[in-house]
Amino acid sequence: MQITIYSTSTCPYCKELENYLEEKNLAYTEKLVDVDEAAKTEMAGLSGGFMGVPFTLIVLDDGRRETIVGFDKGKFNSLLNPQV
Amino acid sequence: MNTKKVVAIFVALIILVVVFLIIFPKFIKKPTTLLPTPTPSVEEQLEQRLNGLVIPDDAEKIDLKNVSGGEAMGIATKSEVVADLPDLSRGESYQVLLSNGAKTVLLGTMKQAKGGWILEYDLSKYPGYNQIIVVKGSQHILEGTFH
Repeated sequence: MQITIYSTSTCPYCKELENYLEEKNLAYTEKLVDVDEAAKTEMAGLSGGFMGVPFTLIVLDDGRRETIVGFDKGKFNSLLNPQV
Repeated sequence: MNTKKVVAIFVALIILVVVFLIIFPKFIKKPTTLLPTPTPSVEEQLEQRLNGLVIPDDAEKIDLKNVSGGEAMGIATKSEVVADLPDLSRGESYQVLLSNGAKTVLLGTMKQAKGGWILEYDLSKYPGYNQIIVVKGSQHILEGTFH
């Protein structure tokens, strides 16, 4: 499973999401869209133009790709719990 | 035995020897000698390919392993990542990630310079992070770890 978080340097919900993933010992990649233009473009492409952060892309082991807008703990739990 | 017969035998022998010398070498398996090929280091290859690139001798550096299966090579110091990478299609980019095993951060997007791809950064700002990963989208291209 690969988790990529698109966030900004000052986003409090992004920090909450990072803490949540670290509590679950889940490795993730953080891309700051406020400092990297390519990351911003990448996120826009994945989110269909939505620019709210955190925006998360989860590539599951079976290859399925899931995206989550915001720190939606319920959705994270349902996606990650079977594998935690 | 008359002289004609002796000459004929002599000539036949010479012909046989000549034919033998022409044909026989084709059937002799020459021992293959694997000579060591001088292979320049990744750093030397990059300095040759990238115009004007000089990586200081005293800089701590690591070769980045090509994990893409295609053409790619790179080197990382603690202040820059330099790579020779294939051209990109429109909308694509090469990004450099830095990982501590659990968390991976985006260092930035590589820029084309000196005929290659370069990203400057400062590793000292990321204590505990030591793995450099060059990616194109989600595909890992180059990887290396400072020890």
